[in-house]
Amino acid sequence: MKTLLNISWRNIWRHPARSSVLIAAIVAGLWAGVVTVGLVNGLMLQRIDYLIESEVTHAQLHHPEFLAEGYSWLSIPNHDEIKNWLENDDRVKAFSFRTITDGMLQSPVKTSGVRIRGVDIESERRTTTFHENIVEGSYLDDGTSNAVIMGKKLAEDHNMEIGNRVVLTFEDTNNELVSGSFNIVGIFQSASTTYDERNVFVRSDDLISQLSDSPIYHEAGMMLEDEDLASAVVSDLNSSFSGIEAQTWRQLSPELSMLVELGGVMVILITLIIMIALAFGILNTMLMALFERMRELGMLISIGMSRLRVFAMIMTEAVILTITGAAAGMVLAWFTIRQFSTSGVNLEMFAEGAAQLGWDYIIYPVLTPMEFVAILTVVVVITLVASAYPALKGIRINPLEASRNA
Amino acid sequence: MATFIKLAWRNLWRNKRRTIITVTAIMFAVLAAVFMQSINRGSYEVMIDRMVSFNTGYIQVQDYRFDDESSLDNSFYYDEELRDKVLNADGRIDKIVPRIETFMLAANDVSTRGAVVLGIDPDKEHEFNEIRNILAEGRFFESGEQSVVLGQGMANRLQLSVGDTLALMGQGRFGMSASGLFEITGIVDHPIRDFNNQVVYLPLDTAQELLSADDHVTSVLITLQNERHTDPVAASLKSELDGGELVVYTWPELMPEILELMEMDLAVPRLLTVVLYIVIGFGFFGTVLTMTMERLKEFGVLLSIGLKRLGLASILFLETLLFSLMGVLFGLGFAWSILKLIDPINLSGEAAQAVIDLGFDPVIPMSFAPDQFYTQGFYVFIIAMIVFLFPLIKISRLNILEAARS
Repeated sequence: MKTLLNISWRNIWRHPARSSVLIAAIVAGLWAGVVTVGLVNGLMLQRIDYLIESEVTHAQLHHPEFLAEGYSWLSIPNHDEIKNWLENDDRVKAFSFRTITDGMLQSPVKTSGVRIRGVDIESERRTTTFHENIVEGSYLDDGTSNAVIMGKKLAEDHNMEIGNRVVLTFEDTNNELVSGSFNIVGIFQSASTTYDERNVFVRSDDLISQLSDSPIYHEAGMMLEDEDLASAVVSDLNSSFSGIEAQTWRQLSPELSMLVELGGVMVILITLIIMIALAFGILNTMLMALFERMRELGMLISIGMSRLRVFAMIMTEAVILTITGAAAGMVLAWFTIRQFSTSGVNLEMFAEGAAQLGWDYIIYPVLTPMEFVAILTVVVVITLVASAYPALKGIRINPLEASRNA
Repeated sequence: MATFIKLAWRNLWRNKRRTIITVTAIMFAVLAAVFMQSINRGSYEVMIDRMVSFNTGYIQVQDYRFDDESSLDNSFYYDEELRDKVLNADGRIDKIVPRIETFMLAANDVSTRGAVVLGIDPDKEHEFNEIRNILAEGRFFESGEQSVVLGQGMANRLQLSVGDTLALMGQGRFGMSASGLFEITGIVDHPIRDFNNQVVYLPLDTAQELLSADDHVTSVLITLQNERHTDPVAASLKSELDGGELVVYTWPELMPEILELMEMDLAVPRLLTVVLYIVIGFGFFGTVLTMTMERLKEFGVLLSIGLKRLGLASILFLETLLFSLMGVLFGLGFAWSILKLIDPINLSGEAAQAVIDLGFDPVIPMSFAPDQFYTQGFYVFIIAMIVFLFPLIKISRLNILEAARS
């Protein structure tokens, strides 16, 4: 064994160029895997966090039929008790009740269908970061009566500016159509143009006064101390109160759960592509290296070295190279991730055109230790498998022929 | 030169194994690169394709004021004369599909919803996007009928089905009030989710009458025999309609949001493609390096017997060219066949459910856009050529005596 190790070690240094290319390929592969998975993770998490924090929140509760039907009489019963419960539960960091109805927005230009969201500015500010999406004007809190904020896209479609008035028409709880004139005090731009086109925000008091005789709320959004508490809080709410349905962010937003689920599939597929490319690179280099050494191997077998030992020798070389490459790759990858997780990777140069959507161009890669270990394992296994094939080929040679030609 | 080509060609086949390995290396590089693009672009192409056929068309003609103010006031007079003028503007125009579009309230006996009302010519529309095939129930109206076809989401929300009556209320042209009762003849399962929840189709002439817009349309969609002709046809239409009040838009101009979103989403895959190139480059470099080492003796001998270094370099360059070309071509063919084989990837489990909830098919479609084949092929070819600079440099520095002896 010791002799074998010795021979392998010397073989590696006999061809420093070849060995270093192999090590470099492994380093590159490991680095690529880590960077890829880190970036895709970072991108997904950033989008998910953004959606949760600005809009969806960790959990919401509604009248059980409200989300499907959307009628304004489907409001949350026992509002006061629920509010009390939320205030006294330690797991709930902040919450906000909203009054929601679907309606039409009319301007001198045209009419659009919108969802009108009545929010309580104080609690909404504590709960979501939606106020950060305001690009112009204020967030319903400048004292203007019947204030409304609308998405940039919608405002552009209607040629509306801050200070203009629009008419909102919707059904009240008695199915009567009511209209009210609202003053535009702010313009927002979220990550989704569709969202900007379909939603306007007003103060809940203004909306309630036209919608119903008594205060009604259709939605409560809550941020929790920790995202993982969502299912527990939701099931507690559902068992404590009847006539409502609480849901976690995953159940609420198909966009979000698609991001999570499809994102996972994409990470696997992309990593697979890169790993296959890596495997072929290594396999080819190993094969090439072996063909070059046919004569040498033939000689070794001719002078009596057993085929098994030749195989072991080649594999030992591969293992040494892999360990060296993997170690170097891990250090490089770790530094890369550490560097970029604070400074971020700016993707602007990879996006053609001047796309200015809510998503940040700067991605902060995220990698869990588990993923790090998984990538390491994959790279090591791939390298060893890729070396085993040429090694097997190597020991099947005809020693006479091999040592004669080449 | 002819001798060099002959020599290069013979060199390739002198060591078949080596050639096969090198060509496979390039082949897999191309495969991986094309794959990466295809998988990331597929879903967007499906989305764009749907938007083009059900929403925007390849080219649209509108009144010049409509983009700014998409109200019925900015509709335009459309008759046989205009139709012929447009049709004769370019021989590559296939069909012309007129539409009138506005926003109205749709109601059953108790409640109302906002609706996107589209007046269409059912036969022309079907020839364009086979709209009759998305019918879930009932039949499509014929021109002149007082009837409508609803999106499924819309029908569910208003709890209406085929045979029921739908009321439409809103504003016609120049502020005329517009309302009417219509029989529902069919319900469509619309592939665009927003349309499914909002759309009401009416016969074009019925819609024009309802909206006090006789012979007026808001847009004319133009279909082409081949999508490639979008820009030239748009150009000839522009010059034909120049000076009038009509303007011409192509589909990228009509849905900038989706294209921007696609750009944003493709930024990460582009970065990952660069990572992939690095992996490919290293794998490839390993193969080439070992190949060069193996052939140093041969090079030494050739130079000793009088072949000029430039001559040897030319032969090697020609070999490279042949290798790379073969690898890229095979790789493209291989990539295409594999993509065809796996297209589309079926999702299962939670990922599939998440995608279905969002109103999409649970598949990851592949893209077969030709540009990704030739651009990726070209990039890999360039990488191959760059990596092959190494043996050329090696030759220029080769110590003949040592090399020939080794």
